[in-house]
Amino acid sequence: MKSACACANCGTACSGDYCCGGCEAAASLLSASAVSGAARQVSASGPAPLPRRAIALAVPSISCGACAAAIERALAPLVGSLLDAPRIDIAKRLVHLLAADTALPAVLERLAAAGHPATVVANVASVDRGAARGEWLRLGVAWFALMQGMMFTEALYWGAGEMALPVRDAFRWLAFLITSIAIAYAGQPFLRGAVSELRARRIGMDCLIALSILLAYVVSTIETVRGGAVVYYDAALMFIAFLLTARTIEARAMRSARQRIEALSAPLPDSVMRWHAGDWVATMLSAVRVGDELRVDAGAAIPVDGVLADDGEVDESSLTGEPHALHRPAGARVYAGSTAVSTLRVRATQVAARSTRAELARIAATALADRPPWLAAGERYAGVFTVAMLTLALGSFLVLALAGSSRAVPTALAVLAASCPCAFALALPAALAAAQSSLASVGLLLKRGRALAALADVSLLCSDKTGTLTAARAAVAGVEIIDPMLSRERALGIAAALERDVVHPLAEAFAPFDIGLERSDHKVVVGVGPDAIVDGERYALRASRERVALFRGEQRLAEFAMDDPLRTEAVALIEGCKARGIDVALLSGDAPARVSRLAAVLGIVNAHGGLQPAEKLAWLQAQSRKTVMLGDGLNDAPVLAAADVSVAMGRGAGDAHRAADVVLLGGDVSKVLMLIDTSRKLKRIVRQNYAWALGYHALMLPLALLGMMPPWAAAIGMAASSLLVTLNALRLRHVQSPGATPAIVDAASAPSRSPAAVAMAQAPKRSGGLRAESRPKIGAHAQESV
Amino acid sequence: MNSLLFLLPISALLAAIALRAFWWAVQNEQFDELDKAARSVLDDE
Repeated sequence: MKSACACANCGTACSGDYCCGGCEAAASLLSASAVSGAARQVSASGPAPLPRRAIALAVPSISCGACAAAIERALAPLVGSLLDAPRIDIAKRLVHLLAADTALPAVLERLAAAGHPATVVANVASVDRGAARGEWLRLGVAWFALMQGMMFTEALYWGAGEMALPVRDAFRWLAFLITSIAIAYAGQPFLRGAVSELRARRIGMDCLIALSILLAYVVSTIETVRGGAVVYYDAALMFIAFLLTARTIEARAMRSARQRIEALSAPLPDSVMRWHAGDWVATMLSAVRVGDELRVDAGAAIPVDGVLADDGEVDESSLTGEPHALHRPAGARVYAGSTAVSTLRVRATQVAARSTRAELARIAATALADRPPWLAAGERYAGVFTVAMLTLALGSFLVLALAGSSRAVPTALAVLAASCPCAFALALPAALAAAQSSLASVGLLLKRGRALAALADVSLLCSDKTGTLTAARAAVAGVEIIDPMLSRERALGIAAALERDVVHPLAEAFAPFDIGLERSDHKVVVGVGPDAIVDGERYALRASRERVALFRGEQRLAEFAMDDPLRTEAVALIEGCKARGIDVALLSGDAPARVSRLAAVLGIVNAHGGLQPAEKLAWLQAQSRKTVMLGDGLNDAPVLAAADVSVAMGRGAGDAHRAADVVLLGGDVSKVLMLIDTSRKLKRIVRQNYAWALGYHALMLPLALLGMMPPWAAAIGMAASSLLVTLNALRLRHVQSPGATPAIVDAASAPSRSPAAVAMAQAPKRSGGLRAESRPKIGAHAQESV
Repeated sequence: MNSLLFLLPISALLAAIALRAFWWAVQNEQFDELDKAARSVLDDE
């Protein structure tokens, strides 16, 4: 960025690295993060090479993150030239593309070759509804079939011996008819699941279920044909009805657990108001082009990423989890999916299908394909376990059948049902999805699933300073009055008037102190500073390093000490870490004096200032403990990557791209505690489920093998067990906010909840440094530096 | 046992009617939105 023609901090044309002392000061305070952040956002909105449109593909074979990853791999060669990275909706089995029309045949061909044949969908909502209705109908048919089938099979049991043979055979054929219908229609999910498991060369739950159903059905059919002693149609019917019920309940619970993630892919309003030829015209969202001006009424969702044409209020909670209406000035970025609090005019900077929200949904959909290693190990064990159980069931069947025992079939069925690896197959994805979703609801975007597992064992938290524990924004830390005639409020007021409407990082620091003093003949000399007549007299502001001076003519009236204020939440984070037995280290490239001052305020013993990135890296690599590294994810990506888990601080919804395992989309650094808590809870719940599964199998298998377990009881046990582990896993839906709340009263009373405001009032007092000055009156200033 | 000749078709007919009613209910959006009623209690409007 440093060039001879533009200021490296604010971009104003100038001859040196920086246009003015103020920018140099700001840059030394803020590090390069804000600058490269702005640069990235500008370069991200380049023109597309070919016209593209949104296409939805239905891919019925998608069932998990691994499938999503396979689809991404299959389409990867086309991404860039012909289409954007696909967004995969696992729950609805859809792939959303933004592709050139000419790309479609290649896309379909590649998907088919990867074992995921796809069809183009015209209306996404209708597909979704159709799938849900199919689920209900199958459930209904399963239970009707069970009731009707039981009528005959029960009669066969009770009437055994007394029933005339033709009646018995007629009942059996009727039961056969009902069971056939039930398997063909209601049993589809299990049969399909088994087929796709076999295709993936894997034996899982669906294989066991399908085998149980088919075993009962085939044996009964043979017995019916040859007029044998016993039929087991009821077992097949019960397997279908019970397991389908459990599966439907699980699916519904999963959907509610995934609510936050699903909300990201929920459609925005189809119709938007676009400014066209001097009037607002209703336009299809998909027809909105970059540069179009849209009107978003108060309360409505913003349909596209864009910039505000004039000031307004925005609620980004659906993306960042921070439920505050934020004031945004004209020119500020807004993101699709946030809610307009006031009526806004938005200029689109991106077409709807390529919005930040779509990107968030894409990241969320593929994050869980990256399984934590111990989960992958668990699944491998489950596979081995299942094969062993299958062998056991078939072995016992053969032994008993060869011995001529009538118990061969029911014993084999019971063993099959008792060996369902539900704790592994169901509970883990459910727990991960629930954890991911609840993290998303507070603005923690999980990018790599394995981070969740690793976090549970972390014992050292390393944090960067600027932009992580501090707000990466200049703020007035103290005022030194030189002219005794001037009050602090007035000195700040004059400075604020001078900096009003000035686009400069230091100007932002004075905005909260603006008391509305009249200003005229305002000019900003690039490289020098602002100059104007305020309240009848001419004043000027001049900056040097960390100080800004207010002048009247040649007379120096006051000096303002500038600092990068501590985030309030940083205090909560450090205290919370201590409470959880996690050590904290501060690694910063900033001046050692400033770093140790901040460390003293926060009570961090292990603080290192003046570190180059390579030194940070070396320090991290020297640690033998499990570490989580907190940074901004922009220029410290290699350092973040060296830690066991990395968390990047974003400021708003647009920061999803930051390179880390987890990205914190709001500014609240204490949410890292929720991340750690969720991870620990996940580990605890997974352990409980494993313990349950082991106990369940240890009890059920011997009973089944000894023939003391009728198949129907095993089926109920299987359904109940899988429901239990799923519901236990879904307790992760709720994250508690971290226990240690900051004991700072001002945080609650400050209307803006602005960290800068609170830190300003608090930090200097504790550090014994500069005296705190009056808190800002108006706090609702933009949190984003542009 | 002859009564079965009447009872079986009757039971089959009843089951068919019940299933048809269920099918109708599903197709007529009765199961599309199950949470709305629960949420409506909390709605002021």
